[in-house]
Amino acid sequence: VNEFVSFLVAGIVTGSIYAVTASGLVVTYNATGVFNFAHGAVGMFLAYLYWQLWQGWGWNPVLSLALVLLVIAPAFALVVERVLMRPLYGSSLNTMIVVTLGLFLVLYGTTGTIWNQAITRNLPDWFASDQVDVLGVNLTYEELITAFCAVGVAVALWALFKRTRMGVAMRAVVDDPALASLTGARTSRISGFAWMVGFLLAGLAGILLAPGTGMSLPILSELVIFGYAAAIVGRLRSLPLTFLGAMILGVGASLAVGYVPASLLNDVTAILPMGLLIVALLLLPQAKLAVGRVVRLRPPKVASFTMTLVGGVALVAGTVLLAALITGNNLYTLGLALSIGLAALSLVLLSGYGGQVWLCQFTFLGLGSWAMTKVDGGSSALGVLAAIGLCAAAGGVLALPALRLRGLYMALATLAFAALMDNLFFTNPSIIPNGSMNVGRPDLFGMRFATDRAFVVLIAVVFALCLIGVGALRRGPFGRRLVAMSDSQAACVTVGMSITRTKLAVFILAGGMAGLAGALYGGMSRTVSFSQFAFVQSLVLFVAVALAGITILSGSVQAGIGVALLPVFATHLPSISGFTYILFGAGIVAVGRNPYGLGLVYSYVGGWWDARRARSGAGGGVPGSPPPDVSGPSLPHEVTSVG
Amino acid sequence: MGLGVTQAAAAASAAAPAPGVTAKTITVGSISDISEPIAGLFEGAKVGTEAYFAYINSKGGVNGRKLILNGMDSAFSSGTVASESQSIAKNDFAIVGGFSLLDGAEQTAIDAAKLPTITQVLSPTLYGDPNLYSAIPLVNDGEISGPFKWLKKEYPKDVVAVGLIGSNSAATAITAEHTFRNLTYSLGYKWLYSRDAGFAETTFLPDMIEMKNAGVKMVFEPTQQGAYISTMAQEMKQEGLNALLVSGGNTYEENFDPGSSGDGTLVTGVTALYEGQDAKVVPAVATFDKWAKKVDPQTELDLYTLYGWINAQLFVQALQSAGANPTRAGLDAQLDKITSFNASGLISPQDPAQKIPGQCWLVAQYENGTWKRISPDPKSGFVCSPKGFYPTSYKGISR
Repeated sequence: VNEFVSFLVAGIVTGSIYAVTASGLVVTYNATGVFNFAHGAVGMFLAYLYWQLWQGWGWNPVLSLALVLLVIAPAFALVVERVLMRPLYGSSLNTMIVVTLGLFLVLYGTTGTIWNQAITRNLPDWFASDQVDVLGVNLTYEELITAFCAVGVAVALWALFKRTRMGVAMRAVVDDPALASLTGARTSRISGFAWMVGFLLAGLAGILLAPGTGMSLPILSELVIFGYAAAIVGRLRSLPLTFLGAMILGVGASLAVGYVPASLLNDVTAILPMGLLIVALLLLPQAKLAVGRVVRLRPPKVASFTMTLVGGVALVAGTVLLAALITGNNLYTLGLALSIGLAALSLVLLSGYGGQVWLCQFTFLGLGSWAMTKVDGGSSALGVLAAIGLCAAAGGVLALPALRLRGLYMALATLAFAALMDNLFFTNPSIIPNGSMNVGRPDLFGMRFATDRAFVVLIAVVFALCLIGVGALRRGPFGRRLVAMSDSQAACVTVGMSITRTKLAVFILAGGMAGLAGALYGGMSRTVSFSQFAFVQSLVLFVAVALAGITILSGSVQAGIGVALLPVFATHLPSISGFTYILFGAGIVAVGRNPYGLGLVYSYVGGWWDARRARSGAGGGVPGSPPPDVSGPSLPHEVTSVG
Repeated sequence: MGLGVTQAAAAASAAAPAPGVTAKTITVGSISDISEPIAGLFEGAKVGTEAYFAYINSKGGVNGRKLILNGMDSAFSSGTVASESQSIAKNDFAIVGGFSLLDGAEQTAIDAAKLPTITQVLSPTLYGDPNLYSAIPLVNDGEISGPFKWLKKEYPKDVVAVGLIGSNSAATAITAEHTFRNLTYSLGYKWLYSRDAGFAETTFLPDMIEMKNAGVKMVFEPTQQGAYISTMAQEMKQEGLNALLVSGGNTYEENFDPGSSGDGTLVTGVTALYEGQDAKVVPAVATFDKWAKKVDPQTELDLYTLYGWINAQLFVQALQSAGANPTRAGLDAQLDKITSFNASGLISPQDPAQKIPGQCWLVAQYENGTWKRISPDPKSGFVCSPKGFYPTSYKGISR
């Protein structure tokens, strides 16, 4: 019994950290309807600021703490709320995810630029080596403070939501902002307050974590995903259940060390956080998500067959021309851009048309590369088929939870899948010895593609064919079903459409396409290290596609180019690599106001051109299509409800 | 006529300088993970090589030529590494220094161009490559065993109650841990507990409780970073786990900062205490420290900086003997002769030519915030163990 109590106490300490992290997520979501994927990055950034004040400039630690948590965090939150988040309220889930993921990337890049990561920084403990015995476990003062913080946060938030007008108003605003406004609630002030509390809790979590992890950019900013499981146990609504989820996670990991057989221990502790997230998503009843209203601009028009054909031919011709002019690393970057673009195209199909948020595209690239190496010597067309087949099957498996999960829950499930694959598959030496593999290039129709130039052209041809194919799908009945499903699943069911069949089909199609991209990506790289497929890469790709236009085919081409060029900037132009994150920042501000990204801009330019030609009597527009609206992005044209 | 043209071409080819070699300079390349996945991760490898070149250039260079490093950034992309290594094969004399998690992607270019590659590598597929020369050779599924024999001799009651906290964040770490397990088993160690921790774990309290309950007396941590090992040291003391903490080279870093909880922690290794503690007994340590800081005043001396320096030194030693008009084949021929190399005392003697790791080592202990040698005594050089490599059947390669 004593041993059990010891593990329980140790687990509660770990669970307390998760609880503080998760409670911040839930508070923000509860009051604003925005699930903040940048929550961990905010905590990391504030922890760095704290380090700077205390260790860097030698300020008093208590004063520094107060300044960071009570002044800087709320001020920062207000700026973010005003500039980034306010335009998001009531917008689509895609947009919310993109903007918060974009904020994650901006904070990550900015912090890395300000604080040179080559220099070691440690945040010392407040109380050197003082400790007390708690039920047979010695806890440091820091650990006690963490546990007390968790309890304090729980009590304070309970009191806020139940006992104060502001808290009650916060809950009212998320349920129905319009109704809340009618009762006199000032929604902007309430949302701002919620973001302030969220940022304060994020900062607190970051500062509590930093002494144990060191000032590590990736660890501090990615650790928050452990909090996701706790937040989902609380159904993103209930703080007591969120705390329960955090304790299940912390105590579960602790008890596993004590009671799980040694042969299973590593697997169990590796699976636990993401496994709990998936189980919670699948088993617990889902709360009504706050994403109930979609205020839209008119979407970019659908590309005609002629347009996609011309675009595909232009892509191949441009690639052939460019490939003749460049060599070496530039040629490689071109090939990489095209293969990542193909993966991005599967996101256009799945997320852009079908409205299914998928945050694991690089995991599928990795699976495709791996499958390619495993079949027929690693360099045959059969390997490509295997990559497509395996990833299509994996897509089909992921579609099963999608039959039950929607919106944010589905996004989190795919993120959990990616993180699990990182832990259990890509780092498993019995599956991938030494973490890297050589990937071959297939011979097709008697042709060899051994040179980089030939292989780049092959990728371009495949990409162009897929672009034309996806364009045809979008214009056909299946594409209309996808868009209908994206708009309102309830309406689709009402008119007799099979959501199950449509979801299954689009997941399998997108999975297969991503697998094909993986085989080509691996062949272009020749050697892939599976750490390249870490889940964070998938988040970057999702943001890039959204910025470029997730509902238009050309968005995938631009996203591929953007993602492939990012490391090139970092390598060759380190002085402006920080600038690229500022561009990202500008991009996500824009996406908050225009969810179609560059796609809408092109649409307006095209509309203006057609109108100009029409005025000059030259005709214009696509036969049979209405002229696009050119009245500007500030006026919402249609409002639909998908709640 | 045809024969004459062929002979002339052959003569011209024979006279043509090797890639990267001019009358006044020799340029070599390196590839390191610098901007990604964590900014500055292995920048030290580049700095170390540049520092040694700067040191040699200050003495007039090699055979009248200055040494130049074309230090590239992998951007943590295998394709970039493959492409950069092709560029080096085409334009530069050799690969020298550098350190990348993705170095396996260099192999195609290295083998195609028979490119002399003088560096530390991570990918086991490269360990046996005939074009690779490492100042500290690595062997697949092999490990120096001398320090563990010493531990068994010094702490006979502790090695039969061993615990381990490894890392599950990389396949290479898991593979290395597997080798480590086989080595210690072969010496009669008994493992009572082991777990691989994730990269984002923040506390090891349950592990400490379990190890204390199991009676663990020696805790190994071979792969994690210094900040984590600091936490482990603190939590061991906190939970009253009176066991000896033995760690890999990562602990000998500036971010190992456990306060008094870390007192007694041991590190075994084949490098001198290069952060400065050995400056008085190993003069090369002072030279290394001085030139690394000169090249990059902000640099923190880490293991990768040392790797860059010692491999640059190995390259220069071979280059000096390769003649006034060095060729890649000539450089290889000289490298093949270097069967004992200790980088002026910075590392224990190694055999880069036959890829036989050294069997000499040292043990350092953390006490009052600094590291001190505890073996060998007197406090310089290394202890050498006969048959001090696991598996003992490994005899190196014949080139």
